[in-house]
Amino acid sequence: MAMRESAEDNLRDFFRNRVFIIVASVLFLLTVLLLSIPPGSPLHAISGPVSAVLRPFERLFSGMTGQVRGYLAAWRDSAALRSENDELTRENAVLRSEIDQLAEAGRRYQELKDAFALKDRFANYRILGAYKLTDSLDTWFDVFRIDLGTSDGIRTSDGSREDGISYPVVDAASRLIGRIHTADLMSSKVVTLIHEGFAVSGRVEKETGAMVRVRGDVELKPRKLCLVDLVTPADANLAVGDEIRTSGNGGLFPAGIPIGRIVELRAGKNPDQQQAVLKPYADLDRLEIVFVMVAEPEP
Amino acid sequence: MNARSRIRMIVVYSLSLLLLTLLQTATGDLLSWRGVRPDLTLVLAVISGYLFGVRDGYWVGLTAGAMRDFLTGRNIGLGMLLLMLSGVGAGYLLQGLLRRRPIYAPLAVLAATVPVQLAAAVAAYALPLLPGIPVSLGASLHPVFQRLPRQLLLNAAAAVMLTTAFSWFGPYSRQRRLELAEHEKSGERLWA
Repeated sequence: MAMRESAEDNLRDFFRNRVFIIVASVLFLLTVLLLSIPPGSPLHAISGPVSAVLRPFERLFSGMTGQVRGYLAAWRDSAALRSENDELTRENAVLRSEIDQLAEAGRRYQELKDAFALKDRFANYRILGAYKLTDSLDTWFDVFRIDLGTSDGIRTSDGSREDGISYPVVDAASRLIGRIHTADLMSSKVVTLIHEGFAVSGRVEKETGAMVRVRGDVELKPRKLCLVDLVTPADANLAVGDEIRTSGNGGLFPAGIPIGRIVELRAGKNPDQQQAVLKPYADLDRLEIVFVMVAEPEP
Repeated sequence: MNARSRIRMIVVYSLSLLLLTLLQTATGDLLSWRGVRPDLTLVLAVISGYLFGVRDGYWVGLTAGAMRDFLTGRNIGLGMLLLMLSGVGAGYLLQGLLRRRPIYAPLAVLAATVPVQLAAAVAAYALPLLPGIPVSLGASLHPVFQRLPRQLLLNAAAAVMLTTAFSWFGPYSRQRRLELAEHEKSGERLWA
């Protein structure tokens, strides 16, 4: 009896031992990390309740940050702002007359479009607006969250391509920002196009438009730039200033989304391969509102 | 510990976690210096472990890491692991080395910053989001070394502020700290 009680005490002491607790915690967290890596892992849904609780605080902090930033900018730039205001007033008058002219051109374009039955570029996509809740930090913690989740129609992946979670994310001017990485009930995480985990098929917008791959690069990420590689055909001439848009290949990103412009040409590791550096159109430092493109099912 | 002390501990840690996590993740570039922000959640985990012991460092690190994973992590688990180990390491190793003196708290934070930054970079190299696109370890580590000096400075400044704040509005009252210091001069007892 005494021996049995002693054995039980020893066992209890073992499980209460601090080293055991820490080692067990490490093993458990490593397991959680590895299980959360596959696409569509249900572990990402755990953050749903946390997102629900934190969302009002995040919106409050984002709003306060915007106001503070605005006050600081106004204080710093007050003189420049006055001068810019005068300039803008003059420009406004010019633009008003241009708008009147363009309104007429727009009407004629609509007539042409109807005549040729042109399809709107993104007619098959539902556009959902979202606020940015958090910023990316540093390595590994380099995705940002938006306030759209599975409750808003963002579906989690079940492993099939058709149900892929990776919806394109664009800004107000339809310029590419990135893609959805994971989603919980009330929020989603977005991988930006400068992230090394992002790649998209693109097309150079000129007559002999080559097909390229635009991807993030770990060395270019601090400079907010992307890498352009896999140029097809290999002898296509890329030039500084070339605009690149999505090609539509792969089925995830619709064709025609503006990505950015080439700012630098460089040689690839293989002499036959061209590479280039692209500056994205989207201003990733000033994002507040983004738009998620959700494909509508074909009728 | 009586109920009032326990409530104080929970409230202070909860508010600290919420405030510092949101300051780090939801304020844009307001607190950044040349693209680098202070790692406030790491500072909190290390200060908790260094000043108040392994158990505090463990739980604060685990919770702060979970918030970080949920809010900005690619996946779940690494933030919890790194910050939990930082808090525990600060409690185990640095308390003995630095005698738990508040003036050395920034050193404790600096000592934790380097391995955490390197570990995150190695994890990003070992577990890439796009396995078909190889990334070299050197390329993964290079940006970390580039921003490390600024990160260390900002973390040290944050450590000074947090230590000062905890000396006035910490999770344990000064009276309680003095009472316990009378009985225990080392080990798992509170900074006085």
